[in-house]
Amino acid sequence: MPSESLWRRYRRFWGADPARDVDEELAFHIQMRVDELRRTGMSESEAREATMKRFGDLTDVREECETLSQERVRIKRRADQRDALRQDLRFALRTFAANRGFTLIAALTMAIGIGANTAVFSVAYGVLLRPLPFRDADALVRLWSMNASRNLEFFSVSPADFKDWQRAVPAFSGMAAFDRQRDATLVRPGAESAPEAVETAAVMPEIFPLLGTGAFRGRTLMADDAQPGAPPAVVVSYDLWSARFGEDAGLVGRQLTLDGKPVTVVGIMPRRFWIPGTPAQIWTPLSLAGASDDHSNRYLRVLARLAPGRTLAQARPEADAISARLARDFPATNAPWTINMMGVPEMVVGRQFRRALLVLVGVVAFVLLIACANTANLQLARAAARQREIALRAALGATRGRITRQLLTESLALAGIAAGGGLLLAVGGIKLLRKLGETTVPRLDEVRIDAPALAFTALVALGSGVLFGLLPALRASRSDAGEALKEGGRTSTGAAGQGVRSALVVAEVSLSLVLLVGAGLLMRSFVRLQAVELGFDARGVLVAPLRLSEAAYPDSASVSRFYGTVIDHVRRLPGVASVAAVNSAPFAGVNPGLVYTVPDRPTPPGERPPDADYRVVTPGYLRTMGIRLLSGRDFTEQDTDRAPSVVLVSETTAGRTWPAENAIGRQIRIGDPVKGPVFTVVGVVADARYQSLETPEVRPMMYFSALARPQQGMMIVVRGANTGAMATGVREAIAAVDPRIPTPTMRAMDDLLGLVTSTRRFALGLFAVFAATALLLAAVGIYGVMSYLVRQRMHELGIRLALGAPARVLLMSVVGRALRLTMIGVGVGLAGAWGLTRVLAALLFEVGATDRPTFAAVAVLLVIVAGVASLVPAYRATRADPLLVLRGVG
Amino acid sequence: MPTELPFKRGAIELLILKTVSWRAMHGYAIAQWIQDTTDDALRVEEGSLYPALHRLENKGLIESRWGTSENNRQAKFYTLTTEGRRTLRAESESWMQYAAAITKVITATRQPA
Repeated sequence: MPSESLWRRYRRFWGADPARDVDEELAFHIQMRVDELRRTGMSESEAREATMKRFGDLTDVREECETLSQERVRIKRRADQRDALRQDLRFALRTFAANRGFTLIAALTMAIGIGANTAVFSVAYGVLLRPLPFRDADALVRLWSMNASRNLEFFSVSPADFKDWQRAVPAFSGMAAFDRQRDATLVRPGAESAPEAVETAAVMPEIFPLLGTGAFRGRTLMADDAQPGAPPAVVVSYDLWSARFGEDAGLVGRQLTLDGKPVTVVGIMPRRFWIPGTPAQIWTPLSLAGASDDHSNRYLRVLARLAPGRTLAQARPEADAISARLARDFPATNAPWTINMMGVPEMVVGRQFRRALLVLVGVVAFVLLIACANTANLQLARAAARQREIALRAALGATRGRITRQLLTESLALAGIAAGGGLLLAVGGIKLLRKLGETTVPRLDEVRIDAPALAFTALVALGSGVLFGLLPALRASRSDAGEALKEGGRTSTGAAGQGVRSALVVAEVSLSLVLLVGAGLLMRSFVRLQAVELGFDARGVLVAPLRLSEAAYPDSASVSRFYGTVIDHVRRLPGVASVAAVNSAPFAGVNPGLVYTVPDRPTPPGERPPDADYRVVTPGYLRTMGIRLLSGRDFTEQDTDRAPSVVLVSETTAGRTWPAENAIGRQIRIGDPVKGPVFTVVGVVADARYQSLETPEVRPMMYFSALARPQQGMMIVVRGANTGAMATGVREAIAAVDPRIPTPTMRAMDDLLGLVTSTRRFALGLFAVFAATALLLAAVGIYGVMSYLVRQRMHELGIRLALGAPARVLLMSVVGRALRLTMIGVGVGLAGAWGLTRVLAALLFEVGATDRPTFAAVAVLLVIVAGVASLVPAYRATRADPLLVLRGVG
Repeated sequence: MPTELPFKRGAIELLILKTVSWRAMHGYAIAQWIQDTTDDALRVEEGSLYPALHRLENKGLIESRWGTSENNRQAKFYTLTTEGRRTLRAESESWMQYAAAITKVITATRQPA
């Protein structure tokens, strides 16, 4: 091939010039042709004219060729970049293989950081960000009756109130009511022998268009379904359809038996659909046509939709106006009542959980930062060791940008490996979360690693790769090639390098201190909460809720007989110490309440009569629950409806009603101050907590005899040695008495209590795990930096040792330096924690957000950990042979 | 002079590949060589030759280099790449099969049944 001219080579050195190349190529062709024609005897101008004529449109050809050339240049540039990247990556992987220890530690550290973030992001996304299955869910609002003076914030709504509200708030485009869910017995066609317990809710058909969700199969309930005399229609949930009917396509139009009555399934709702406020599986039509006019008959739940462009803030004054009018028109029933409202998204997640989750997001971000600091430190240390290599590459002509790019590629490759590991950790973590948070996390079934979570992981990996890689890369590429080569391998990054390292140690210490303080505060709250006096003994108690259908048990005698027989059966089971029934066990259900008066002491006009919670119990309830009888007597088998009406009151009730007097023998009138029934107090019992562990005072409580007032829904409570064996026995006893009754869901009292503290336990558990991880990472980080600094000082330490300095002094000098850094970190961390732990306040119980003992304990812990982490390299330094060190072998 | 046969775009690319398979050549020489080899039966239009050269270069079938021509001028020389040699072999094969098939038909002596 003919040689390329020097000039052209020079010109091409500055980059390709496609336009010029094409021009020259075509000019050459034209000149050749002209020369040839001239040889045949044409004149110059004739030859040129003939050539151009033959060429056709030169401009077109030139343009086409130029476009093609430019494209070629682009393709080549891209290929070059790909090659460089591939080369960088290959080199990075070779470097990883050569430094397995470093790679493993760095990748694992980052995997922990990235994994924790991915797992928590998945939860946060699933719970807070994934849209609810309703059209424009942000416009949905839940409404309650509120009575501030009686501390009732979220009370049900009476049909009479609802009808008055319905048209009175212009900010709402629609409003619909529904009943709370109740237990029902479902019999499937062809499965007559096995009745199943399901939850049903009567809902106004208007609720479906209000929520904006159509049926998955068939149709939703329509206004006609609620008309009197309409054929009974129901809509079922997707879950019921898939779990109980095996996704049978023919379910729509089929007849089922619900509580002994035939109903027709007209539709199946889509997956994930539910009506906020009632977790039912079957919806029946609700009509308010025949509902009571009594404004105090409050039992409905209400949802509304904001009109387009209207806000909750605009709806509030309008709602206040209608409640004020109702209070004026019906002072007896509506005087202190107002309307409370909350957006559905907020209601679904709950304020406390939302806050806990956001705190958690912050916590894992801290863990990631610590992991980044650690890895940056490792990279710095390794960059120092690689200084010769880098200097050599610089000397051989690699530009600073090229070297930075190479080092950054290494960091990003590392982050990529870590992201893979992190994803595995996150998958495992989410599995664990599902177990831990089953009862705590709303919408947990919607938590999974999906596209948004993967995108998030990629982003976090990229960001942290740059974060932990950029600083070391810039520092390394800046180092002076000549200096590094001259030093002949004995490297030192100088004062600036140590400054960066020290700053990283300080950052790690302060970040982990903040996390540890948070964990400590939650732990103290939890211990305090566990120590709350319950007033009953939860250990070894089993709770089995039952509900008798009115069709099968129409009168109180039959109800009474049923529960009496079941209790007798259970009592005879082996291992059962005692058994009783109560209408609502502690932490297991609703909290019924009543108002009462003292007959010989009428309530002054204008004052409200006192209120109390109540329970209806069978004899032996106090013994079974371990509630102490303080004075008087317990209920006996004789306290039936034929005996005088008696009541047991709690200590708080007695103290409030008859301060400094003996309550035994006193009388109270329940409900209506004139016509209400009168009861005589026969016993005073200890206070027991039924609803909340966290309120400072216990609600006043009254107990009535179930033998005198049988209830259709009761919970059997059993105390015995082995709750598992008892559950089987209780199930068999119930089936023996009446096989038509669906098997109840039985729970240990301990588990019910666990539910109450579950959000706390969840937050504490995760916080503790992440704080421990942070502490471990920080300890590793401090150890790593101290080892490195000690290695840097080996020379100096060796000389001092050789000159006779005592090992102890050298030890102190190394440890002292680590402790100085730690103290700075502790100082910064304490200041940060002081400001940040306030966000935890809502999750704390009887512990201040700036609880000093916690702060002090955590600071001490960190100083100890840092001391130990630096002691190891320091000790090793003093053991080194000074001669070897001085010769540069050590 | 025999009639000048018109030919298609795909064909010129095949001819270029064959031409530069001998040695490095500039565009003018390629055109000349084709014309000479076919005894002036095929005349290569400049308007289609150069775009075809650039297309082939973009496809990576030929590569170019600037050099000095026989009369001492700067010219762009094209050579065949390995990929181009492979393509040339395959395309020649299919072209010959095609040509043979056409020949069979138009030289047929037996009348259709």
